[in-house]
Amino acid sequence: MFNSTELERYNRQIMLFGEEGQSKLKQATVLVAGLGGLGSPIAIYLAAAGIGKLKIVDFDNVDITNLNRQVLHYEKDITRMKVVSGQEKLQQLNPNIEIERVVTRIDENNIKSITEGIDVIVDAMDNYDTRFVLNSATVSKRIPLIHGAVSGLDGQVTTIIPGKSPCLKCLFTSTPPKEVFPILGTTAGIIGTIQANEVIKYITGKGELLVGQLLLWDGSSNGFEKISIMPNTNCDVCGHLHEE
Amino acid sequence: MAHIKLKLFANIRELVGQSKLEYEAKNLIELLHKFIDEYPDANSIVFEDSGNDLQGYINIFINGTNIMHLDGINSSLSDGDEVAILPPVSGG
Repeated sequence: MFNSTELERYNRQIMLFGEEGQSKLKQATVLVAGLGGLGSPIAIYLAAAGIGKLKIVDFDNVDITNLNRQVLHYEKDITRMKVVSGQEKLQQLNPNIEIERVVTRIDENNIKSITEGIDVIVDAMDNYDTRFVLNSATVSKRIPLIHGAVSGLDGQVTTIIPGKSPCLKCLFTSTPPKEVFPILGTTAGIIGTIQANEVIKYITGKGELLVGQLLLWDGSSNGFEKISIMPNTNCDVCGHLHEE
Repeated sequence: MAHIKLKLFANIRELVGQSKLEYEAKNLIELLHKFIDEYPDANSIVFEDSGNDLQGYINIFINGTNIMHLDGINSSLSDGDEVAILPPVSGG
């Protein structure tokens, strides 16, 4: 399964979950939806961990205002497609993994094909309209969605497992308008890293997931808080999975 | 009258300077009015200008359930309930 270089590369985490766990990572295909502030650390850590295939999706180009937080992209990448810039760095970091890039704005019409063959979806979007599209796909395909969102020094993460946890529509009923939001790069780094951590734990079966829990990060006072969250049995997206 | 824990997050916590408060209230609207009476600056985060309508994008949970799946602002409260106010965090 692994050549000697791979065994060396992943040695420190094979100590955690064995070659069996590493093999699960190698066989996994993960969708990183959005390659901005959250998508950057998510993709970097998943590539470094040896996820076999990363599908990176973003329609946008690198802009100078992205560079305070979108650490996959450098000054030389300004005006380049984010997925092109991202694939280049990720492949340099780990040439052993496969990276598929998709240049598109995710919507109801293309989500089915985008999520074909995907084991885990990671929400690295900057708006709830697209998050709700990912959420519907998660429920219909019964695959997990690792949700993350950030603003300023605040962030949140939850792991949605259809039928076991509330979905995004159980949690959030409104769609706040997409806007230019204040954000510190470190906030996106912390939240994106936790999302990548959830992906790795889900695939390897190591540790406990944020299922039925919303983790809230307060970067101004360095506080994490978890609140238990409940599914809505009348949810129009996932309610049918929670019937008695 | 029920003893309620109110948890605040993101910009409303920063504005108020507190993350946890405790009030006696029998329903959500009474709780929110007691809170706003004590911290009037938070009014515009919680309520629309008209006064009794919640801001469209604010998320309020009672024991982990969004109040929109309960009775909204008229949801009743029981002793020991935890109410969380989460302004929208939507960036990525």
